[in-house]
Amino acid sequence: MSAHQFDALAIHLCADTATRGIRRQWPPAMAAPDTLRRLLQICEHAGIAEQQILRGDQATSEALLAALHDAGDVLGVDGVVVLTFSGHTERGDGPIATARWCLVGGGLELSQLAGQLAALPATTSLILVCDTCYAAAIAQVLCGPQPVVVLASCGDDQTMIDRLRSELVVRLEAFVCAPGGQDSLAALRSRLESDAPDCERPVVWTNAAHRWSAPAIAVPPRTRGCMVEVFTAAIR
Amino acid sequence: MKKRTLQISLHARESSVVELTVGDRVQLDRITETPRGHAPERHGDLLEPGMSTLALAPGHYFFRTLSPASLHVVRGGVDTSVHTANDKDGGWPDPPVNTLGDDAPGEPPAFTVE
Repeated sequence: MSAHQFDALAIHLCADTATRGIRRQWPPAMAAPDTLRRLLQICEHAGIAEQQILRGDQATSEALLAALHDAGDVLGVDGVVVLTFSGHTERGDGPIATARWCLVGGGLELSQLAGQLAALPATTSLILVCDTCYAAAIAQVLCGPQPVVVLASCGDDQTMIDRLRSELVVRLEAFVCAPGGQDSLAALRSRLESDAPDCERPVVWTNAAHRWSAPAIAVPPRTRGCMVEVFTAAIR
Repeated sequence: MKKRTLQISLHARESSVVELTVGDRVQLDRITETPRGHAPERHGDLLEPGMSTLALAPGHYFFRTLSPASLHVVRGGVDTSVHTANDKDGGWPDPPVNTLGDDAPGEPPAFTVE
């Protein structure tokens, strides 16, 4: 990533290869490649031009923590970071903060991830899209001052089935990329919850009350305005 | 103690009709063979709590539930097997279905075949 200032960026962590958690090795998540493609499209549609992909051998804890560290350096004031994860989570026997996203070379503990997210500027808005088992658990572990939206494929105590396509991300894409524009975060929650089995229930969570009435995944209007201005200047 | 998810596999050996009674909202999946292996895919609408009558074409199906469930085969032939997610190292019969993580400890609900 360059030292450029960005208003929004996305980091996609795609476990499309064998990974390791706490005790065992996991096969590639079947949906991961399709999920990555859809998430890239979702972010592009939402106006997030800067997107970084960590997949294959690059899907490591070190690479993710470094990407988040760099994000803090290149984001402008009131920037937006979208972090997505598609893969396995190993729960283990400890507290939920010790569950790990399974990555190449070993898992990343949720508490460690939360610590790195907390180190981002306090005015950074975070959007976490978690397509994994115990997906909503990250919301319990967050410890920073940033406003956060969590879009999780299942509850903090639930597992999910490895499918060809992520049911969460397929619906998220239809919602965000709808021809008439996307509805609010509250509407997304209602849409997701109305069509899900109880044992694999998507979770939409935020610690910022104003986000419920705002679009689910969006770049602040200020940023969009800047992009339009730049584009207008270029075609003159 | 936390309720554990019970996974129930159905193999319809022939065209069959079953009555499935569940206590929570359940998704029935059909397992199909794809170039990337066996993959579950949603089969029909979600099943609301209570009894549902289902017509099953020959094939493999499965569902997961948090509550006790029962199955009554009205017509045809259906084999069933029950698993928890931690069975994934060998307990799941062919075709296998995988979860995206390990299973936390807990008490699984009961499943009965009438």
